[in-house]
Amino acid sequence: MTIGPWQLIPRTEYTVSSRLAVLGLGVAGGAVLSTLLLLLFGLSPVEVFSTIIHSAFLGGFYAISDTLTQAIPLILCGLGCAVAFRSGLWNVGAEGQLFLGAWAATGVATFVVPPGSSPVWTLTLMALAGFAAGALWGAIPGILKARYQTNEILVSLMLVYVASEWINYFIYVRWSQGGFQMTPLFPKNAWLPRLSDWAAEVPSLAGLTLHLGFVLALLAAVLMWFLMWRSARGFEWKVTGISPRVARYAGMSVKRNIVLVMSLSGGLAGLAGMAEVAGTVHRLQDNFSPGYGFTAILVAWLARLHPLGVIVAAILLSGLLVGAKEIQPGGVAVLLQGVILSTVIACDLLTHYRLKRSVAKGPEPIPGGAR
Amino acid sequence: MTHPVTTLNVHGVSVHFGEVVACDDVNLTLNTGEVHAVVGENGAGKSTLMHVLAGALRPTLGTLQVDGVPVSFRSAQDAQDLGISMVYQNFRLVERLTALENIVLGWKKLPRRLNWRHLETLVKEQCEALQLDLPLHRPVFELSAGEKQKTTLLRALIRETRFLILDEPTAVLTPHEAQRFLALVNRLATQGMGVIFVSHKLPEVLSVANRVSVLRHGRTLLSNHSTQGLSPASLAACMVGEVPTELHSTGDPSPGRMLSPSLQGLDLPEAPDPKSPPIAELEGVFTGAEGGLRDVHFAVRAGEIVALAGVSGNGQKDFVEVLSGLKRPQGGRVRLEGDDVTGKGPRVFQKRGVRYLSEDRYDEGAHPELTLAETSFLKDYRQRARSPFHLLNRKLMAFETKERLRAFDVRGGNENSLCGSLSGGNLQKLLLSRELAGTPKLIIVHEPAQGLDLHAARFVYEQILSAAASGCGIVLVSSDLEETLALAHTLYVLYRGKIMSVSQRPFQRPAVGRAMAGLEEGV
Repeated sequence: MTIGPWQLIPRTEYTVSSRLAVLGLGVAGGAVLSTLLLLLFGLSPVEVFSTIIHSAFLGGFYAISDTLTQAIPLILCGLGCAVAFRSGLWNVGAEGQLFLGAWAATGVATFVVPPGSSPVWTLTLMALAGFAAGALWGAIPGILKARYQTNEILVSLMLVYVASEWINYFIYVRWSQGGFQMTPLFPKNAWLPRLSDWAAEVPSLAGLTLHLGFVLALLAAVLMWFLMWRSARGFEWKVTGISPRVARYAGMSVKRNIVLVMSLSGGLAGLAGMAEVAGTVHRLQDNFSPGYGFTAILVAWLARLHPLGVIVAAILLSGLLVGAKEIQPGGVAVLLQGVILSTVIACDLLTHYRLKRSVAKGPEPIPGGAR
Repeated sequence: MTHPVTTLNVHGVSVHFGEVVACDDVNLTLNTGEVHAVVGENGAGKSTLMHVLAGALRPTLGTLQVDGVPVSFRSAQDAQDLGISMVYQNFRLVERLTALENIVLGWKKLPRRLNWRHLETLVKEQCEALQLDLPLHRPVFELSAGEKQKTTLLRALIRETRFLILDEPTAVLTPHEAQRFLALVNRLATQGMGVIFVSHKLPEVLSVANRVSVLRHGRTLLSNHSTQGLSPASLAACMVGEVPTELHSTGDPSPGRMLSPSLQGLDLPEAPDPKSPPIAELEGVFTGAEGGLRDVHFAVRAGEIVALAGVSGNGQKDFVEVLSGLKRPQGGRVRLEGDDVTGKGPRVFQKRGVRYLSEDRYDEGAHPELTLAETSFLKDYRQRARSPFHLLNRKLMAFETKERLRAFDVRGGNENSLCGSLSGGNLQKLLLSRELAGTPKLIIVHEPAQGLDLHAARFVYEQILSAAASGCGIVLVSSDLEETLALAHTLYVLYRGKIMSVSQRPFQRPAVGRAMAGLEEGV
């Protein structure tokens, strides 16, 4: 393919440095484009960017704590998206899986665990329930794809709305607290420990909302890296993602892996839902997620579908979310996200091809001619 | 009615792809008002030649002339402007658009303001003139193969076509559809169109064509021969390189000269005792009425090289997949060393020593985005994995891959390079090293030398023979007849999913040719 005087040459080798360079180019391009757009709207780019950076990262412990807290669901959902995308499965329903995970964890905290149980057991049970519910929600598009070749993008996306109405039913009707759009607050043993819980011993921790879910998310990332890069299963997923035909030829069970990956992907999002209700809001309520499951798609792409990269990308995007709260008008954060994603994806081409100035071409193929 | 005859001359056309010569000094004369069939085996150069005619490929040497005037095409549009249109085998239609939209898509004379009613009348007139029945407003993905064919045909016809190239036009049609299509082709020719009909179905060729040319190994073995009095058998013999004396050949018919240097002087190991028990057997295997295998019986013994010859697309893919456990047959049994393993799955076959080398090196046996080490252990990664969590032993895999690369002289990359960086020959060597590793009992190779240069092809053949000599059963599935004749102890011929003949060395070339064309059962 040619673009003007440039020719696209497929790369035969990928290096980490070239990938990082392409990513850097994408982010830089996004920043330039955002600057232009902000100027167009009469906003000061310097002010916008410095506000974001200040309120998300440089504004002291509170800022960082808030950013990391918001990064938790993004990391977990991002991991779920990364493993699915890498296996060639477009699970875009992390939001719904997160809802169901939150719902199951809420159910366990409120109705299953007897009051006064140990927090360790309560939280473990909630995490398992959250994971299982998310996994179930992820498995549905997986099973349908494996059995009937349905499109997992459509099914997983549609299930987001089903999940949303499902939890609304519980928030508004079954578990509603006095008619408000929320369930009663969880008992204390169902709260993930926060930094501020130790404020009595270390006064400077007072008011910091970062909770244990962050450790959980980091552990999950390391575990996923191990699974995807070092295990036989992970190898099967990689091959399936590159080409299901090759996987089938090698004797791998493509269908089983589809269901497995979709369940794992959904389970991680479900875990995010559990972490969110047990660590941040302590109840199930309306609009408790500002679209974490959708932002996670972006996180996974920015991270180049690498589990450890997901941590970095999630923190950056969370910073954007936190920082953008301080900016008027409110849509700017979403705008910036969209612009950066677009440029990063546009630059993705350069990870597979390199540009070369075209010289006179050989005689044989005519563009658009023979196969 | 008579039409002035236009002539399209193919004059000394050669097409080279790197070292591979797809067409070598091809000479043909095509006239309007007649059907000219171009026949030949797979890889004979038919498609390449058609791409040259349609302007999709530029010849390395030689010229095309229309009525004696040399022409050169820079694109398919150029060919179209001179009235040459091609109908591709796989249609190349936009599935979501309607038949009508596809027909007018990209038409030069399309007015800027589309008047769909006008266009529809135009196409309908064309349909009526040819007695074609086509639902113009249905999206293409809802159409049958025959209707898609009509759509592509109409695409060509509204563009004032003088020469119509049909590439294997009946391959995807049902017998009934094919009959009607051939009648249509005849009508077009009588209306003054020049039809170039590419096929290897000989009875159909003889029923529809006025003239026939035979390509073999890129050369014209028979040029512009009249089909009058030509029998399917003599045409079949011609296709496999034996030109009957009553035909005026333009090429060199002697089979010895046709043998590729990579196949000369190979040492065939002695055939095993025919009474020894088979390693693998197929009993009455059936994989579907449409294009599948039908009642296939097959056996291969230790140390025996059994070839399955036949034009590709006659059920070869199903055959190799059933024998390697990838596909579960709908009927019949598969036995390995006497044990019934029907439907057991590929892992069981692999464990019992069945290895299968796919014909598709870039999206099945390997993939450009996998590293050489990953490719090398695509099937055996679990055996190298460490408990308890099935962790891959990447170090061991890298080490063993290095060994294999050295042993098979694979050049162009190390164990961490991507397969995309290897040439076809080197990649095939790597895949061969994978399938030969350990103690294979049965190796199924599908088109093992396709697209390889002489040196790499020779290497592949030698490896296959030495595996056979060490007692491994070999199943060679190939559409290259020379390859199967040179290497096999036993030769099966597959035609439309059925075994047409089974023969032992020395092989009767004309009989094999007839079986390949589906002309005769038995030997």
